[in-house]
Amino acid sequence: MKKTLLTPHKPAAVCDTVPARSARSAASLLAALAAAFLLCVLFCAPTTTVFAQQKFSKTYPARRNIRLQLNNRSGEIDVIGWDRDEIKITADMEAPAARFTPVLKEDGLWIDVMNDTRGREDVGDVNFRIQVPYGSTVDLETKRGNITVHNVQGAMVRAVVTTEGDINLTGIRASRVMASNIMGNILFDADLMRGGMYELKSTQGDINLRINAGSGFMLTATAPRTRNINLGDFAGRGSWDFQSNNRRIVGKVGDGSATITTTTLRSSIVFVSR
Amino acid sequence: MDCEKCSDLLGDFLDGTMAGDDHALLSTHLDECLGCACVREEIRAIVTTAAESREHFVAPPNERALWLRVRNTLEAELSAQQRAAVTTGSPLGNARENFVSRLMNKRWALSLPQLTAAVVAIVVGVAVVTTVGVQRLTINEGVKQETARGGARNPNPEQQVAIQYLMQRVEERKSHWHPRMREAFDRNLGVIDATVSDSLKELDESPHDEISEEALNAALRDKMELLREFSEL
Repeated sequence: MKKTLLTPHKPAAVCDTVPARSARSAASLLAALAAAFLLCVLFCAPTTTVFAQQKFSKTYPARRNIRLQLNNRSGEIDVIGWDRDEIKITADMEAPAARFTPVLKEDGLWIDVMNDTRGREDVGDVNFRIQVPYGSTVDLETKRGNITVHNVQGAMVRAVVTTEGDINLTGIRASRVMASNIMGNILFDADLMRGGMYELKSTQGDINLRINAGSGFMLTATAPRTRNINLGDFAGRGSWDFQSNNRRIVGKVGDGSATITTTTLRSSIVFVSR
Repeated sequence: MDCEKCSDLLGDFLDGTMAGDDHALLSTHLDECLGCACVREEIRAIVTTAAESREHFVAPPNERALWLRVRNTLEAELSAQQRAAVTTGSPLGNARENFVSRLMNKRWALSLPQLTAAVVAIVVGVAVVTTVGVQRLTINEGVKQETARGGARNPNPEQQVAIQYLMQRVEERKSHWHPRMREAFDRNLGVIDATVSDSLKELDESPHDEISEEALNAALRDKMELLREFSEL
C-alpha cells in the first residue's frame, strides 16, 4: 500500500535501484536474526542442561518384598507393581525444581524430598511414577497431590495426603492398608486378607470401597455430616447396627476376619461388591 | 510404854482383846499418865453411848425403796419451785421468753414515712435475694452443661496454646511457600475449621452425642497435625 503511493513520485532510475536495496536489507535482517539465534543458543545452553535435570529417571535392584518409603512435598505419586526385581523411579520436576537423592538401604528405598529440599520453601511439584515389585511394602506421603497405588501386594500400603489430593488404591492385596487426606476422594479396590486391617479416613472426600463379594469383615463406617453410608450388596449379607441416626454403621459380613474402619467427616461412603 | 504406843493399843484394851504383858504394861501406864487415862475415859464414854443408841440406827427393811421415795419427794418439791418461779416472772429463768413476749405484745405505732421505708426495705431485700439466687442458678446450669459436654467443647489449654504457637509459626513462613501450597493450606484449614464448627453446633444441640465429640476431636487432631507439618515447611 505504501509502496504504490510512493512509486509514481520517484524517478525511474531511482525506482530501478529499490529491488537491490530491498535484497540487501533482507540479507542484513537474516544475518542479524542468525546472529541472534546463535547468541540465544549459546546463552541458553546451560539452561538446557538445567532443564535436563528436571527429569529424573533411575532403576535400582530390589528384592521382591522391598519397602518403598517416599516423602514428597507436593505433586502426583503413581506407584505400580510389576513383575521385576527392581524399582524404577521416574520423576518430573516443575520449576523451581526440587532436588532429591534416593537412598537404597538394607531395608528399602528411601526418597525424602521434604528433607532434601529443606530451606527451599518455593520448590515446584515433583511428579513421581515408580514401578516396584508386586510384593513391596509401600509407604507414601505428600503434602499436596494425588496418590495412586496399583497392583501392589506387599505387607502394607500407606498413603497419606496432608491436605488435598485423591487417593486411588486399586488391585491391592495387603494385610494392612491406611489412607487419609483432608480434601479429595479415596478409592479402595482390594482383596481383603484374613486378619487384615484397613483404615480409610477423609475429612471432606467421598470414600468408595470395591470389595470381593465373598469377603468377610467387621465394619465401622462413620459419616456424621451427611449420614450417607451406602452398603450396596453388603447390606443384605451382613448384620448391621445403625447408630446415632445412621451416622455410623457397625456390623459384620461373613466370618468377619478382616477389619475395615472408614470415616469421612463431611462426605459419603459407598460400598460396591465385585 | 510411852503415850504413842498407848494410843495405838487403847482400842484393843477397851475391847478386852488384849492379854499378857501388854495389858499389864498399859494398865501401869494409864495409872501413871493422866492424859492417856482421860483419852481412855472419853473413848469408853463414846463406845458406851453408841452401844446404848444402837436400836435407833438399824437400817430399814427396804433401803432402796426408801431412797426412791426420798428422791421423788425432792424432785416434786423442785418442780413446784420452778413453776412458782415462772408464774412470778423470775428474771434468771425466763429472760428470752420475756423478750419474745414483750416483742409480740408491744404495740407498733409507725408513721407513714416509717411504714414506707419499711416496705421499700423489704422490696429491695427480696429483689436482691431473688437476683442473686437467679444468677447463681444460671451459673450453676452453665457449669453443669459444660461439664456434661465432657470438656470436648473446647480444646484443652495445652492444645490451645500449641495451636496458637503453630499458627504463629505458619504465618511467619507462609509467605515463602509456593502459591499453590499456600492456597491448598488455607483451603484445607478452612475445611477443618468448618468441621470443628459443625461438631460444636451438634454438641450444642446434643451435648452427649458421642459421634459429634469424636468428630470434633478428630478435626482438632487433624488441625494440630496440619499446623505441625506446615510449621516445618
